[in-house]
Amino acid sequence: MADIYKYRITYKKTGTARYLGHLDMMRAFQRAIRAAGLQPRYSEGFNPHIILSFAQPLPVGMTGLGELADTELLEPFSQEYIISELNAAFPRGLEAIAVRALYPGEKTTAALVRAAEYAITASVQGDGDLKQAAEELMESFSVIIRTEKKGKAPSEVNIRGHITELSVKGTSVRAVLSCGGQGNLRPEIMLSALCDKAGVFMDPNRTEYTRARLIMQNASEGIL
Amino acid sequence: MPNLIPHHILIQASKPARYIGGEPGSVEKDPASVSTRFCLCFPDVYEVGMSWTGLGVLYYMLNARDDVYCERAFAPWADMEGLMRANGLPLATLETGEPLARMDMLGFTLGHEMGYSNMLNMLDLAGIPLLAAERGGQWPLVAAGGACACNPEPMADFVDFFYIGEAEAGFGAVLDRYEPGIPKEDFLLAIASLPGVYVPRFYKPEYKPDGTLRGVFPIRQDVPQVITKAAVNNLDAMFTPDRQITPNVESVHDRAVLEIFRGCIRGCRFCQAGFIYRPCREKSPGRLLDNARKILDSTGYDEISLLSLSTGDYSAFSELADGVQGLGSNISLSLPSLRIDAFSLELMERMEGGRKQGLTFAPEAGTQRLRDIINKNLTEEEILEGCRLAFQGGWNRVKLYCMLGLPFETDDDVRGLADLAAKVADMYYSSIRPKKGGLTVNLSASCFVPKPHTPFQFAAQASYDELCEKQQLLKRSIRSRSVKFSYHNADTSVLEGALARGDRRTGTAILEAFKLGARFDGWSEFFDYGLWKRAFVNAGLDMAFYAHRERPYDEVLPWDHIKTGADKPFLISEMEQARRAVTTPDCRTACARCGACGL
Ligand code: SF4
Ligand code: SF4
Repeated sequence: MADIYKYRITYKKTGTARYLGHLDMMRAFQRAIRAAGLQPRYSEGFNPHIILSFAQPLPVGMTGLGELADTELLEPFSQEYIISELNAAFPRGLEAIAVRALYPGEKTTAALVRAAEYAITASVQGDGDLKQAAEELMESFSVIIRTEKKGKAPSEVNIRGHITELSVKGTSVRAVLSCGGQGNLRPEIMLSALCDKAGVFMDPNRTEYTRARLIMQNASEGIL
Repeated sequence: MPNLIPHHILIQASKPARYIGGEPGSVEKDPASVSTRFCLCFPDVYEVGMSWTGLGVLYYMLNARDDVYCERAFAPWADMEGLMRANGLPLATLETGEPLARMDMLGFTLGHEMGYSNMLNMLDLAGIPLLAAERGGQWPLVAAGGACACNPEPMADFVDFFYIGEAEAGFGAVLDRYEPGIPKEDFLLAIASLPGVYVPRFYKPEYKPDGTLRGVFPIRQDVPQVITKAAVNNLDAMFTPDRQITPNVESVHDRAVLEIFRGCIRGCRFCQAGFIYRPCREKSPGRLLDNARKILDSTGYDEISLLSLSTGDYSAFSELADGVQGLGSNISLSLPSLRIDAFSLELMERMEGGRKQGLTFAPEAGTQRLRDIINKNLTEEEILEGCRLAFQGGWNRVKLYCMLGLPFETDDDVRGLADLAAKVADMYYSSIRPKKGGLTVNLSASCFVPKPHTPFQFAAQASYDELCEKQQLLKRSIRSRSVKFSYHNADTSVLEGALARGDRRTGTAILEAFKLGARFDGWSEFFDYGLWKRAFVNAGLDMAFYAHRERPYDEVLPWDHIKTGADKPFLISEMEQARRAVTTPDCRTACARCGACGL
């Protein structure tokens, strides 16, 4: 069996690239890897595809400053080479910023992500105080939201355990929230709970979200 | 950074990546460095437009010039149109977000009549007056090309000039005549005699009391009476891009595309593409392979499609296919437009990967008599043999395309389609050991639409009711449980028939339809036949006059002043051959002297 070289790519998804959906991203990465001549490893089977795994997909419209993807190559390449060749083949707004080789047996990003740090520019109306609401929220033990899923009875969920950090400056909100397969809190849900608490109205279309970084199980992993 | 559609609008749209540009392969230029800003406009949604190979050719050909920046615009999907109108956002280019109204020239591709309402809608969304007569010097020049330009009359009121034929042959010469600030009339006059250029304002249609045409006459001495399409002689020597724009959203044909030849050696009498792109001209395998390697390298695609009207007719097919497959171990080959008689064991092996997708063949008609009438040059034995090979090769899904409403069609011909499908199914069960899940023969029937520049341009199109009856007759005639029948809506085809053979007055109905809200007429979820009927009535026109009337050979047709290849006497003789069910050999077997070679 041929040697396999696994790499973890840290990339930014900003500007227009924010609107690429998850499948669009898969295709953009696969094509860029091939166009860059990186000798990707293909899966076995009837319909072989490039082996590629993303940590928690970024929702359409959200900026990502430290997103992660793992891929497997059949030849080793220098980090600089991978970065520059991928960037030459990516759509505008997608940018590889760091690459490192994985050590043998290292888990995929998807398995390691635990939390994410978000920076939100909220578009709110009303007299309520977001900052005070955030402080109260962090002091309380429960933040109950009602979820309604189609065909299911509405249920109440306590999301407090998924909020690790929360701070507000004006309309800028910074939060560290659970992210990944073991627990995931979407920032817009947290924000709407916060706005409810503060008694302000949030315009979802004009509120902009940035995922500043993903935080891995092993703390050193998430630092860029 | 381009002048983007604001976040709060994009985030509300479905598939917002349609509207962002910035794809690998897209071109960035400093707009201040060029003298001509051109926007290629495609009157359908991004995923459809980006699948059209000609778009990339034009894009790179124009952008290869230092004096031109060529950008793109597509029809926004209905939800986005609503958002744009509600927010007062004009239609803009993908590359720089510059409003279309600020371009020097817009080039619309009219590949299909069902895009007409979208072209008007795009102009309207750009805030540009729809009628050429109402666009003063401050507005962009509006050009149109594509297959529909071979009958330019229905859209003539909206277009400053048509370019008929192949862009590589002479569109550069058109742009050479343009300079910023040149008065429109002067520019149009300067290009009016160039190959392929038709400036409708210099021509006036005159009608007889019965409503038929007396002719479309030049109103000045210095413009040609007959407009001859522009065509490339040597395809190897013409501009061919070595890359493609890879779309942000998965497009209909999301793969590398290699155009292997233009035109078609066959002369199926219903087929507009087969006639207007004559003569058949091939690219050499060496040139194609070099091109394929560069496209695959630059795009990162791992699938390549050999594009032509009839791929199996390419003379050096094996050499080319071997070469392409030798370019990489993970390169898969896709072969659209295969004639069933070209299907072979060799092809089957090449299509190993695509086996699950099923095969599509187009026998078009159900009896030998009718296949001879349309000059399909395909026998029942050939059809069954092609299917047998496919079944033995492991396929158990085939799609058979056919047409209803062909000239001289009888009920027996319609029932013949059901019989043919049943014979294909019998062949499966008698020739191989049936697989689990069995066989599916998808019999898919479209409605025949007589098209300009074909021998059937004289024929009456079957009426809506007749087409529906034929569909029902075919449905009732199908006995085999392996045969699944599907058919296209007859109303769409009737409108297509009226627009395809329309004259300049038809433009009034198109404008009416746009005002009544026609959009995306090629999409069944948007198409509204009642609306179009009202539009024709409002315009004082009769759809049947255009669609369902047999046209005598001596009638002047709205496109008689446009020469695309075969001349009218040849088309008449082909129509007569059809009447007698006599076939005409293909161009390789014997030249039928249609007039297209040496235009
Ligand atoms: S084979 Fe017939 S139907 Fe096909 S492109 Fe050629 S002329 Fe048209
Ligand atoms: S002139 Fe002859 S060879 Fe040329 S396109 Fe016509 S029939 Fe074919």
